[in-house]
Amino acid sequence: MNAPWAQSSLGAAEENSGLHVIDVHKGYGQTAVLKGITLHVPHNAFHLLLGPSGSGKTTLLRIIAGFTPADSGRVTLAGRDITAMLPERRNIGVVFQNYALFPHMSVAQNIGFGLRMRGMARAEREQRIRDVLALVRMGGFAQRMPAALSGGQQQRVALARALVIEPELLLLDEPLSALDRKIRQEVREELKRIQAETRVTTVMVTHDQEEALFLADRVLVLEAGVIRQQGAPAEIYQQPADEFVAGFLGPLNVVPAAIERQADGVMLRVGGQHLAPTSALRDAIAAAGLSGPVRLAARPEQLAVTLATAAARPPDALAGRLLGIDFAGAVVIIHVEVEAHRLAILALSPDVIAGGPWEPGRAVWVRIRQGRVLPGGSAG
Amino acid sequence: MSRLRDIDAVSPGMVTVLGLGLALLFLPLLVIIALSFNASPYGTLPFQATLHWYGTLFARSGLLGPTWLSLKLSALVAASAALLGTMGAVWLVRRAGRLGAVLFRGTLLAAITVPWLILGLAMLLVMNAIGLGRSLLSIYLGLLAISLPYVVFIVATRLQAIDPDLEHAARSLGAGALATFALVTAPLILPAILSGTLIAFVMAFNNFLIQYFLAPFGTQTLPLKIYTLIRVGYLPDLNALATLIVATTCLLILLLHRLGLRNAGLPGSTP
Repeated sequence: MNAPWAQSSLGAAEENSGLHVIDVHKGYGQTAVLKGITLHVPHNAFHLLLGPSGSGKTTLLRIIAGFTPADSGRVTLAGRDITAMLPERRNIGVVFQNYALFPHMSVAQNIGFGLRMRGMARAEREQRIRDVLALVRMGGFAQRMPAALSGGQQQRVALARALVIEPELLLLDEPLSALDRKIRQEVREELKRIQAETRVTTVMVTHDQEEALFLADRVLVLEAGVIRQQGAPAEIYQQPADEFVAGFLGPLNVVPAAIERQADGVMLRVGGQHLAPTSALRDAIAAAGLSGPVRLAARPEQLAVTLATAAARPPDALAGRLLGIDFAGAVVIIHVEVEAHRLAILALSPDVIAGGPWEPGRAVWVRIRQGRVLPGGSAG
Repeated sequence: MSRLRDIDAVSPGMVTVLGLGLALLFLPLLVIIALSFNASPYGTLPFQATLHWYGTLFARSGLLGPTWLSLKLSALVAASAALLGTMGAVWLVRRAGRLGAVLFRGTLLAAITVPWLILGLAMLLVMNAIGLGRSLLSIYLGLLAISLPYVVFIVATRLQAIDPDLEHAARSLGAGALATFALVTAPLILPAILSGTLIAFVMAFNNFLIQYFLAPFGTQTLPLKIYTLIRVGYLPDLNALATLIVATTCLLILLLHRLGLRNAGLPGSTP
């Protein structure tokens, strides 16, 4: 293991800092929701729990916040064991999916609530409220009521309210999911900036892989109460540990194939077609150490497609048939069929639109530029 | 002309039915109010305006004592129902398990649906058995039992509409359970608590049967007094009292609206 969080050579202070979740189990009735979660979020880091609904990610967040007790396991924060501590004593800021702003209090009163609970004097409270409103760029809104704010503004206030208490840990529960797409991108960038400025240790829960890849230092993929993989966003996107992680982080084409070793190197057979692998794919085959029936997995941007010409099929391309094109602005998704398998291929719009008659039924050549080799199932 | 009408439009038939319904409700009230200002003690015409019966009411009638007793008793019942009912609602919505919630709701529903005649009789038996017998304390407990469910249901309905994450947010910001209730939950459910209290007050004030079964001999609440008077024939000072009660009720509801409690679920308010 070479991941920094796993190194035991660090000092005790480093070991204790940040958030530790140690072998946490949680079930409701007969249903096990969390099956032994262990993770460490170092001081100042921004980690993201990514998983489909029902994966247990929100339950885990609620256990960390202290709203739900764990059945077993421990949670420590900055060296303190907080497993059995009441939520009001944990010093954890929480931002909720539906903002949870107190509707009967103004923006300033909402933000000042945590400071009031800490017995802070009025003058200092007001100064802190001004500062944090400036941080989230909501300067002129102190006297507004939450109902008079847009969703994006409410979310900024909720963030300010959680940050102003200078929490040891910031928890964000799907903070962007209730926002419109355009506002979501704006708030997402704000979130990244604010976390970078405040350097507050942050754990965010989301089911949106785009948010996860954009925001986090490190992504933990949760499924059915188990952490399936954790790593830097690019790492888990490009080298997913298994098909679930790969499929959850983005679209994935999977094609059954066979590896055939020949005198002049490795060949792939897909259905009735032989394919000379690209060098990247050859490396992937070597790394997988497999032979015989396998499955080739490639993301849409790892494939390339050209219109077939009168010439013979190149050895590094598979012959296929164009099914249709989905136009998505800057890019297009090209659907093709190769040996009865449907593939989705990403291309830049100008390359396709100006590039000849891309009509359904046309013969095309598909190249697998990169990809991964997974153990084959029953297919050959 | 097209036979198609705006499906949201109010038809003349609907207006007529509404008018009839309102007339049925309010005409008797208007008659009583009119008679309270009429000089004839037998409700006969011609109408001669007088305030004589109001004078009688305050000077010589025996109505003020029972009225005062009923007001005090109902206020005490309403205040107790508000406190216990709110606690019950919080437990029901936020804490109760599935079985506990079903049992609690069932019990409260029974208190509403079992006829008061049966309930009153059963209460008398129980009060006798536990040694309270017919007493003011018995009336208080009986009226509390029949008005408590209204507070619980009204407050619980409001509480269910409040995002539990508001309470979680308060807790995470450093407020303990009590401070969270006082500063976040209570202000948000206050309209429901007030309208529940008002209904509990009216239920307690009105309920003849429970009071009839449980009142000690010689003690007369207003409903019991009126019942006695009606059997022997009464003077229009009773009409004057009724007019004052209607006027007070109207003022009370007006006041609650002015206090910004338009969303309290009161009659005439928009939810």
